[in-house]
Amino acid sequence: MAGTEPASPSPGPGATPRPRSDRSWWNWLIAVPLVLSLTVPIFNRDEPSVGGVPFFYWYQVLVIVVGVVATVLVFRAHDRSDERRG
Amino acid sequence: MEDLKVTELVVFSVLFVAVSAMGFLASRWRRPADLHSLDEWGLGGRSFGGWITWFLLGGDLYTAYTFVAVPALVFGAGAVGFFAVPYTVVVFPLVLFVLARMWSVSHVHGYVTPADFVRGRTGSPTLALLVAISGIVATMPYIALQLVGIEAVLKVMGVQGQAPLVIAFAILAAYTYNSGLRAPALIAFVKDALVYVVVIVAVIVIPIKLGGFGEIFDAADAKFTASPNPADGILLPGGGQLQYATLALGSALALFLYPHSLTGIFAAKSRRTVMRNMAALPAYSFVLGLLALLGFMAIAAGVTPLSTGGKPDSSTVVPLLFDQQFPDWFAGIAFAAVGIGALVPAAIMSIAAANLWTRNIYKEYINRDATPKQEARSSKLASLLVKAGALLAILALDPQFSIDLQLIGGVIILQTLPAVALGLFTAWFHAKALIAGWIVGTAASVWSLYGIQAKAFAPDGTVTVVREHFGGSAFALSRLGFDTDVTVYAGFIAVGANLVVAVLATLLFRGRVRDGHDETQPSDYTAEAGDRAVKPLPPVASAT
Repeated sequence: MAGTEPASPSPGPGATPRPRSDRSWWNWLIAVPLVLSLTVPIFNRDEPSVGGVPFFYWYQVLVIVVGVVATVLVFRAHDRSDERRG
Repeated sequence: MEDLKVTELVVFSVLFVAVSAMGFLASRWRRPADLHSLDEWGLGGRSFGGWITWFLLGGDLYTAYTFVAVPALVFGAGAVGFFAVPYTVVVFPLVLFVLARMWSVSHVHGYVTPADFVRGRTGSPTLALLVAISGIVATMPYIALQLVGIEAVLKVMGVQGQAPLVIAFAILAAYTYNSGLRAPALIAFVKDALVYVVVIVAVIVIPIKLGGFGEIFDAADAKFTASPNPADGILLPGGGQLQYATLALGSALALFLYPHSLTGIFAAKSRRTVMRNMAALPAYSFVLGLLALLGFMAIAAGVTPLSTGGKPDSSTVVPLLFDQQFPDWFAGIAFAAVGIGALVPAAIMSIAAANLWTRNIYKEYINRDATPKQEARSSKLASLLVKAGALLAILALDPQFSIDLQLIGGVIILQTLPAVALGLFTAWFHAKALIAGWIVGTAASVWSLYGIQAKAFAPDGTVTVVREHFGGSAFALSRLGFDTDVTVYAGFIAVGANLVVAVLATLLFRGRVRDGHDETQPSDYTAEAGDRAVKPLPPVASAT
């Protein structure tokens, strides 16, 4: 669901700054937690278990952290580009 | 009533009453000149900042159904109940841009509901009507299910009969009627604080008492190995892996199509607030993972669900666990967390459904010249009626049947995906093609769910059909002619059919059938607070 709508054309020199766009290479980061959490066969197993907790469970909890990192990075990338445009 | 647990009931009631009082006072908070326009009542004046939005969104997501039903599913079936974790992991990155764009376009054009957006984007009032109907139909059973959580808690405390449930609901109805969205927003803080405290204590204290996670998983494994049902276990069966992934993904796609999820988005102060929340909310996924594990802990602790009318009610599993493992006073706090945790989403859901009714049915088809005051009044009444309907559903129907209704609701709301979610990125689809897709998708939803049976597995190996129709959401691919035991989430089949039809019909209709007019501009979708095009934040009358 990365932005696919092209930004409106730039109005010309000395005019208002170029409108905001949702497009960015950073958006591909979003795919990472999606792939990691939905490719079930890779984690549907017991071992290696940690503290008695099977792999199936602690792996998925770890992927939560991956998801947060990915989303924060994408958010930051857009935030910074907004600031740079002024 | 000799089994009445007095301490727990007292603590529960005190917290509950305190929260209700907060609800009534909420109408004084950030009070604008006039509470009577729909914008004000239905969207809290659109002036909520970062932290408040976070709590409000969280309050939407973590419902009594979530933390009573998810562990109940884990208790009964094992690994499949953990789908809630990948579901919440996937949802936030997935909707990051969807919601930011929805915020932007709705603040440029004054949209209050997803159906408003669809009408503006496609120029089709009919499609907007279908989206509104989907939203209302899908939300009502979800509200009803919040009551399942409260009911389970009351049952475990020994309260008999239906009066307490009715009273609790009356309080909810009264204070949302008065204060609109402000009531749930204020209470969301209290609720979330309670939930965090209770869950974190539970996940530390209970495993220690039960001898560690190794013991807990061993006990669960023993139970599922002994059970005659081949689909349960602490890991997923081979044929159930696709079901798991599609259930998680399908639920994620559906979540932000529900009108009540969007309510929190519309009420946010800025696009940036929305995006920042998508990054911060996954903290809730963590809580959900912990909650799911309570299901296994209940197995290890030897919890047996209470029975109603001869059938075991698995939604009592978590309240029973708390009752057994916590001292009475803390159990009372825990029950209050569940109870208040049911009220907040129920309130938000009913407000959202009411907004849909008022904007997209009442104003569109019944009273075209409605004043803001009339709109607000229509919404308040609709909100009450929606709650009353949900209450009746719980009282009259078997709770198990209510859960299945919610299942259908989820599959139904997914049919608005092409019009609402895809519509935020592209205007390619023809309006009438989207209508055709919706019709096919909704019909496919009902067909696919109708043919799913609920089965019970007896220890001697016999399988009995407990419910002939609407018995779950796992669609067997063998029904499409494939020779396999693999199941898929029914919502996927239905929305797949929807999209195929929408695409084909668009290709067919383009140039031959008149399309609607798109009133939005591409730049609307990236507008931020402070842009000239964005409506000023102080309350405006809800005329479009």
